[in-house]
Amino acid sequence: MMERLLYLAGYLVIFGIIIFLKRRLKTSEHYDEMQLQIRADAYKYAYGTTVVLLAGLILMVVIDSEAVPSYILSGVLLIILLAGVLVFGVYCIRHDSFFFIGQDWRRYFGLCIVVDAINLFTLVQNTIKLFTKNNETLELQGLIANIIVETGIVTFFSVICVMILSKMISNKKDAEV
Amino acid sequence: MKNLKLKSARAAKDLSQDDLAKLCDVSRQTISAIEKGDYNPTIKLCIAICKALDKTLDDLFWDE
Repeated sequence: MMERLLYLAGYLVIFGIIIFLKRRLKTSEHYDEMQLQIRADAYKYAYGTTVVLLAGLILMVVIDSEAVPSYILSGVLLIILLAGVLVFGVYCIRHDSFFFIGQDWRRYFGLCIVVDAINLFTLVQNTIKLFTKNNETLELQGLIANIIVETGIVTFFSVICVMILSKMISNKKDAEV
Repeated sequence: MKNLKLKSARAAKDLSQDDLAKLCDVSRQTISAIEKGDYNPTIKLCIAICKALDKTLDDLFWDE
């Protein structure tokens, strides 16, 4: 119990530090009026997606509490969160409101590729471990949980990368001289 | 509805969408959307565009 509270406290402290630093280090981040409007719509759709998926999961657990084992539940919850963020990201990228004015998309794209590659490597490793080793029940559950989370993260960053690249290519074609 | 007046005023000044966007501190896609008629700018942005192109609001945004 004490350990769990410490983990929660640690998470809140880290989250608080990130928020504090974000406010202190004011960047020249600037979205124009059309982008702000689009981002507002994107937040709406992302919120709706997350709520609908969470409601579905809650319903499933209420109807049959054994339907989703606990080691899978944490992975599913993360995937629901990622789904909401993905809806936001895809909508913004499609409508040219993901990057603020003057932001270099290449740096962000590069970072996504690196994160994707690292998680893909771990995903492949864990999948191989799942099928090749004789795993104890707890280890097996941990592996399955990891695989679910990593699949979600890899899918998320892959979709974002593909969307960014295709949008930048189509923007280049559309750009008028 | 497409804003052809804006497009021709921009072309007359030999400015690309990107150039005009930088002058008005917006993204190129916003200028493109305004010209295509996909986005209605606020009065603040309309004024900024008029100043950048040396035109009046009637010249660029009045629907005749």
